[in-house]
Amino acid sequence: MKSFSLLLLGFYSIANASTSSYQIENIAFPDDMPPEIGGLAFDKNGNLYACLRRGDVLVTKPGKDPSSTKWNVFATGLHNPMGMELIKPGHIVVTQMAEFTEIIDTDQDGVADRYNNLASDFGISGNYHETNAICTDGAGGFYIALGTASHNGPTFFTPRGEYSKEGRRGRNFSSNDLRGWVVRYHKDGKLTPFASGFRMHNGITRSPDGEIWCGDNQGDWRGGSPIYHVKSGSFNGHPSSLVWDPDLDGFGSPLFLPRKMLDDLHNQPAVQLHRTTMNSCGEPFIIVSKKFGPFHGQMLMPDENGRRITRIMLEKVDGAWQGASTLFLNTKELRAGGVRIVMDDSQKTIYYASTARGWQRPDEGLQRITYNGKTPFQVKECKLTTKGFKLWFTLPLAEPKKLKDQISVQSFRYEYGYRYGSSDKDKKDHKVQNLTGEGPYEIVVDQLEPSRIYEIKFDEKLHAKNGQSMADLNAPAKIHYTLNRLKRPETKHPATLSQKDDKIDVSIGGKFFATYNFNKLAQPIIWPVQGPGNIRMLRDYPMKKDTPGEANDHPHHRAFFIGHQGMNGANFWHNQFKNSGTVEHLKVIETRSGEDRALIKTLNSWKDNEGKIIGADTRTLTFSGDDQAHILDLEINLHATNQDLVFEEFKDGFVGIRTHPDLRLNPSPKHGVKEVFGKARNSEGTEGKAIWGKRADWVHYHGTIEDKPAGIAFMSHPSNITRKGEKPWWHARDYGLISANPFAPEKIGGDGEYRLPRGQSLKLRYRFIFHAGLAKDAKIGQRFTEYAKDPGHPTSLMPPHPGYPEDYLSQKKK
Amino acid sequence: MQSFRILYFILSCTYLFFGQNYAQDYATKGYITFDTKPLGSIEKPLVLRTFVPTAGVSQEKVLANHSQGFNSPKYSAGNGKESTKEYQPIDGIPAAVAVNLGKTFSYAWDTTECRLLFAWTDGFLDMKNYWGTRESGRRKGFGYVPKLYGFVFYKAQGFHPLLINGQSIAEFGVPKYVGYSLGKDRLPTYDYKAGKHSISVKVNPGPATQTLRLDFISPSKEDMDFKSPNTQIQQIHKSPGNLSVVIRPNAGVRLSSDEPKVVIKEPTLEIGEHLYTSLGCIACHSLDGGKNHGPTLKGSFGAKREFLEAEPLIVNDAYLRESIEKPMVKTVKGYLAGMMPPYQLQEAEYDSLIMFIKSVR
Repeated sequence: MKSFSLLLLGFYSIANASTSSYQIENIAFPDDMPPEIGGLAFDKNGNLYACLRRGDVLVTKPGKDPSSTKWNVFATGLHNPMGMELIKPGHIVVTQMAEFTEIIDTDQDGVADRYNNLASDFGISGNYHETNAICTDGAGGFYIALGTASHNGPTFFTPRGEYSKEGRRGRNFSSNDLRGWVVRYHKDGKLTPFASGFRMHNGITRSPDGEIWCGDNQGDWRGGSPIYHVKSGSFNGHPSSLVWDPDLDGFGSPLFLPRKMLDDLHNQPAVQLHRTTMNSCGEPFIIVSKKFGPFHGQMLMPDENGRRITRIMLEKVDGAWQGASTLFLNTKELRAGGVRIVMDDSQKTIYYASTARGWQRPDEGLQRITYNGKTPFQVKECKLTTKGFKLWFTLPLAEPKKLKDQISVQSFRYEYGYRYGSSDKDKKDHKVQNLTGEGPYEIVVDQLEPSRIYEIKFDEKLHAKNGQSMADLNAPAKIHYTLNRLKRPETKHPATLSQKDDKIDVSIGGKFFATYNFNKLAQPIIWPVQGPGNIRMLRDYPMKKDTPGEANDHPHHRAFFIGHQGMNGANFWHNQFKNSGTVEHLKVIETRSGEDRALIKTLNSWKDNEGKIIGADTRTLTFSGDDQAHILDLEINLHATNQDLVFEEFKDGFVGIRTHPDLRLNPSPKHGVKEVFGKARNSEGTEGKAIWGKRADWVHYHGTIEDKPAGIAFMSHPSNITRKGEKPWWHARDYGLISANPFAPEKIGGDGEYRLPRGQSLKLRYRFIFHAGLAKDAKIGQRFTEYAKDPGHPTSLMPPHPGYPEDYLSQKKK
Repeated sequence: MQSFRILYFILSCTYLFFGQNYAQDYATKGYITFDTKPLGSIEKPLVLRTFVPTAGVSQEKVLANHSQGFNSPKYSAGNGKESTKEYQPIDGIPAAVAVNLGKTFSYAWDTTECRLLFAWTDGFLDMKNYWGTRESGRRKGFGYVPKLYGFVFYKAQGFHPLLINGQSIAEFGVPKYVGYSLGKDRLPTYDYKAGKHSISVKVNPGPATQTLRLDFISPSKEDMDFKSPNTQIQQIHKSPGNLSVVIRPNAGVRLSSDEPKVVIKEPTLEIGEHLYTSLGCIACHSLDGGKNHGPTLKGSFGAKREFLEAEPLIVNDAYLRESIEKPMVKTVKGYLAGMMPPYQLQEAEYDSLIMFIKSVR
């Protein structure tokens, strides 16, 4: 086929951005061509491929003079292509609306003649908003970002792929198969779901170290413009796409799931870009070059609604990426609608593509940005410390001694919820208490809290030694650090996890602590559990039936278990009854390992004996400890997903353990337990058998286990619900059952029935201290005081549940 | 080529008549421009993946492998609540390929159904509602599906028309679209799989205006047939692994993307003559007495007609009107039933056409 060579004359200007470090040039297109660029890629010969949203794919070899750019038409007829990767010269892959397409110039005449459908096993509703982007998977395949539909447009009567009425609800929606997901196209042609929860991830990038990154657009369920580190199986916050997650099947419309349940499922964005620096994210770009200024290894994010590029400084804290952001370029010389960035061979120049047709006034085109070698004055790096932040500047400061007074720190939170975007909420001014170092500089801030964004502002008086100020960059001199996780303290006893199929083993300082078992059981349990010195803490029966000296009573008392005798008619305490329900482990949401504590977060479904869903829970199990004690924290959020969740008043509930038989208060010769060594005491000073049915902050069983002094303390966090604010009620038996029950019958002194309205969540927190040594040395009272101050895991700021349409619409009619 | 030139001439007159102006940017420049009515040419066909209208093909049978969209409650992101008002789906095909060869021929082939959906002349797709103007770039909110303009002469009927070894491929499950190649003529040949069978098909303009030819290839040399209800099919080649059919017009709808429609008040002979060519009557009804798929118009008015299943009559105004509007009611002896598509025209257009037919002596 003949290739169409077009010598084009276009407008041309060199625009010196306000920064003198980067030169911006416009690349020319024919005047009648809409240069709406959805994808950019260089081949090994230095040819630049650009796919245009109306369907053409152009190729050029950029020269020194951008005004004489000669474009060839390589391919035509694509439907709104927003993703492109180059395989080799004359061979590209493109994501267009309906399809992931391979385009090849088989006869090598410069014009493509073969268009292969690589993948189309995903839905397309007909909504204009469902564009797709790609990046490689590093293994011969690709990740595809499938955008959602917008309520500013309809679906067709005849979409492609399975249609979901539940997924169709909401502002941005996922009416058809896998919209709002990242899917993986494997080298062998298989397409598998990878991660859910996206609103509009217009761009996806694989970093040189193999991590997958997506930005998203500010909007519903997006307080700021988030950047996600996309992990396999993760849910990234926007609920609509959850209709295509089989684990979430049966909980009703994802849009109306309990807020805390969504929050617990949410893989928090690594970075939230502030509205003053970003409106909507284009595609992340990682600077692999050392010739493009002093920002090697960092990320750039173009703003598809603004004339600016933001720079992101990432670090790994407590096992996850988070970090700071600041403006990189902010100038009218840039076109608005920045979506894609690629770098050329020189490693000094990036090509910046913009398109905004359809969401704002068209400002389409291609520009190149070249570093001229003059170091800009900027914050080069910002890292979290245990007490504040460490700052590196690109240039030496003029007056480093004055720096402390030139820095101010504020923090705020973004809302997570249905509202479109969020203002800065819950603002706090922080004191810079101290500044040390001579570059890097370390600042100490009066308060560091997770789930907040810290804004570090620099006074205009701050200058580099060479006279440059940050204001020279025409950028507000500030950075925002998204603090999801605090830096963990140093430890000699790191808590580690290792998962094998349906079990996770926990060790403290390399010594076994516990195993979380989450499958093929009536409910997930923790067993076995060992204290320091390999002391077995809990009963083996019925998981293991031949342990000598154990009674075989109450087979439902399985080491560490969670349940209640009556919830909406189902029994989750006794596994052997006719109305016995099951707690089904659905997924491990997250684990953290290797720091001073390890953590397992899971999602579970509560089902009655007929398999009907009663509700759900998300639970976080946190493990820590040392040579004296192994500590387990349970934070369980119970979610009324399908109806009001009624905790009926029953004595048997809610979180229970069954101790090693040696810790029993009384023997049971009938059951073969002849001798026991246990004593019990609660926080109120009551001792022995009398602690049953009493109210207390904690109960402590202690004595000797297999001839070694040891004990177990079970604490209820003061934030747990109780009637009239009294202390919690304990179902603690002399035969070694200890359980905290907020729903015990009133006639035996309990709190009575509790009704959790549909759409709401109930949080319960407990701490277990499995200690070696004597009771008096275990300092349980002091440990409780510490526990009472522990804020637990952060909860996002969320607007209240809006209610269920079937409820509020029927009320309206009345 | 000669016939195409003549056709061009005729069609050019047509466009002048309707006062429409076609820039044919793509055909001359080789790239998509801001022009929202892009057109290819015989030499440079335009292949465009885009949303297209359904043009009324059967959702149940032709679009059998599509899912169904439903009304959905309106929603406020301000308070997270739904209301009793509803959003409604719109007409459209999500994953088709639209192809245009200039004024003579356009068609839409669907990658979900792996079949030709419809074909038309005299235009292509008006992308304005989708692409917006150069200045604003704004799509039309709930009506952005590109508008089909021109004269639709073929619409797919029934389930998938291809049979392999006597069995309809509709019975093989959802077909799987593989891709297309552009040949020397730059027309796409589509590859797809139906069950275990690989099939290639090329859609070509037919031997006469408002006809088309489909060339099927089965690399494994299967026996193929093409069957479709309410469609006149002429098999022009069949051998193991090969099948070519010519499809006659089975529809007759003139669609315009312009609003409002040009209203013709007074019937004239000139309009009648124009309609004779632009509607495609010319393809089957000669003016010189020559036999074709339909009776010649020469001397037809006032002549005696005998029918397959109706009483004979003398051709008059009422009969002519009926045979344009509802041609399936009576079929002239010696001709195949169901060949001619029904034509929905303005009153003055019917009258003009009848005036023209009367004039052919």
